[in-house]
Amino acid sequence: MSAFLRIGNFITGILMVLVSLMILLFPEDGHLILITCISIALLAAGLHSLFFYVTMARHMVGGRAILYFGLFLFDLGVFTCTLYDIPQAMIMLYLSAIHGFSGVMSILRSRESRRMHASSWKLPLLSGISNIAIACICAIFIRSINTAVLIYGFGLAYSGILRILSAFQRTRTVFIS
Amino acid sequence: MQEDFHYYATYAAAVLAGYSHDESLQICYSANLVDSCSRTFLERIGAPHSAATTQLQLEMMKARLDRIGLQDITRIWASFHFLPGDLYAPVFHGFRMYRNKYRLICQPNSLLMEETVHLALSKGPEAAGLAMHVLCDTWAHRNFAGTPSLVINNVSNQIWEWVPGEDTLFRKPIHFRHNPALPDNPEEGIYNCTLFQIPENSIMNLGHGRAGHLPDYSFIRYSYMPAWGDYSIITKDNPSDYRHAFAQMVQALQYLRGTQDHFRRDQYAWDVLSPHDDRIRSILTRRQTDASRDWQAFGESLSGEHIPPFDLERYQKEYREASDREDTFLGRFIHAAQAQKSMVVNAISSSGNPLAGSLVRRKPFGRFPHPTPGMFREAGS
Repeated sequence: MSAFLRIGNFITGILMVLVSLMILLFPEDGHLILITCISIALLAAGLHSLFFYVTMARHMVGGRAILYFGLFLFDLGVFTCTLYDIPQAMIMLYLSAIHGFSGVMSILRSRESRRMHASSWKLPLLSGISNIAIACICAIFIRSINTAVLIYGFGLAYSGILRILSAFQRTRTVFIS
Repeated sequence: MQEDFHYYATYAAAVLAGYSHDESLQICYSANLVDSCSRTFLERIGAPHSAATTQLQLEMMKARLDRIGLQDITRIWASFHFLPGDLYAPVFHGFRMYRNKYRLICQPNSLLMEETVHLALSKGPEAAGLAMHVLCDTWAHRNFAGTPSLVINNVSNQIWEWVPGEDTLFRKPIHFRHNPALPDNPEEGIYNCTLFQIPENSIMNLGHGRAGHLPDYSFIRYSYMPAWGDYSIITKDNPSDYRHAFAQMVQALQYLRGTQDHFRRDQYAWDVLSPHDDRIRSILTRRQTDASRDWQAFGESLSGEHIPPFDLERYQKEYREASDREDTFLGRFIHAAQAQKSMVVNAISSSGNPLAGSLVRRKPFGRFPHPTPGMFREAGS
C-alpha cells in the first residue's frame, strides 16, 4: 500500500467515525446525511471507473469488467439518491444491505489474498465478518428503529476504526531488478 | 535480470570483448550497482539524489502517486530498467494518456539503446557498465513499461511455461502467489507476483511486477497475454533473449573499448561467442533461479582470475573521503547515471510525452548539442 492510499484510508476511516457519531447523536436525521454521503461516493466512484474505461481500459485485455463495475456503482449511486423520502426503517434496511454487501466483498478480497499466500488477509476477513454480523443484527432489530440505528452507528464506527488500522498495515511488493 | 547476469555474465562479456581483469571487474560492478543505487544509498554516501537508478521496496511504498511522484518513478525505471522501444510508435486507438503509456513499452534494439551505448563512449568503465545494465534489461524486460500502469503491465491469469521434454516442448501451467518471503519454485511452477490492483497508477502495476520474476530467469520460456496486446498471446523465449543480450553486450563493449568503429542496433558478436556457445547455452537453459555460480565459473575460466562477490561497500569509503569526489569510481558512476537519465528524459519529453516530466535548462546561455550531466535539473524535484 503506497503512502497515498494509506492517507486515503486514514481519512476515509476518520470520516466514517464522524458520520457514525452524527448518527448516534442525531438518530432521527443522521441517516439522511449518511445516505447523501454514500450516494455521492458511489456516483463519484462510478463516474471515475467509466472515465477510466473510456480513456484507457477499453483497450486493455479484460477491460470490459471495469465498464460493468462502473455502471453498477453509478446505478447504485443514482438509486441511493432517490431514497430520501421513504420510511426510515426501509432506509436502515438498505444501509444494512450495503454494509453486508461490503462485508461480502471484504471476505472475497481476503480469500483472494489468502489464495495468493499474502499475509494481509486477516484484517479484511475480520472486517467482512463484522460487517455482515452488524447488517444481520440491524435487520433483526429493524422493528425497533432506534435500536437498529444505534447498532448501525456503532457498526459504522467499528468499520471506520478497522479502516484506520488498515492504513498502518504492512504491505510487500515483488522487487524488480 | 539479477546479479547472476548483471555482475558475473557482464564480467565474462567484458573479458570476451578484450578488457583486462581489473577493467572487467569495474564494468560488472557498475552494471550491478544500477540495482542498488537508490536514494537511501545515495543519502548514506552523501551523493545527489538525482542520480538514483533504482527504488527500494520501502521507497516505492512511500512514493507519491500524483503527477510529480509518477514522473519521478518513470524517470528512474524508464531510464535504467525499461528503456522505451519506440517513443513514436503508431497507436491507432485510445486517448493521448493511453498512447503516452503505450509508447513507454520496453523493447530491445531501439534508438534509445543505441544512444545509451554511444553516450558511454570514452567515459570509462563506470559508464560502460551502466550502459550494459540498460542494454541487457531491454531484452529481459521487453513488453513491459517502466511506469505504473494497469492497462499496459497487467497480464492474464493464465500463463504457461514451455518445458523442454525429450523431443519437444510441453506446456505446464504457472501458478502465482503473493508472498515475497517465500522463494519461487520452478519445479512446482509456483512463482510470486504482485497483487492485482484496479487503480491504474498503483505501484503494484509497475514494470513486470504482475508477471513476477519470470522475465528475470534465463531458463524459462512462457506464453502469456499482455494487457496491451489486443488479446494476442506472446511467447517469451528467455534463453534466446538472454543469449542475444550477451552477444550484443560483447559487441557494445568492443565498441566502447575502441576495437569496433561503430555500434549499431541489431549487431551481435556471434563470432566471439561461437567457441563458447555450448557452455553459454547450457548456463542459460539450466533450471535455476540464480545462475551466479555457473557464470562465475565461466568468467573465471576465461580470465584465469578470481571474481570477488559484489560488495556494495567497496567504493563508499573512497567516495566519502575524496577531496575531488567526481574523480572517484562512484563519482564517475553518478555522473554517468545523471547523463543517462538526462538523455532518456529529454528524449521522452521531446516526443511530447509528459510522463517522465520535462527538463529545464540550468544554464541560460550557450548551445548544447547533447545533454550532459548537470546541464538540466529535473522539473519538480
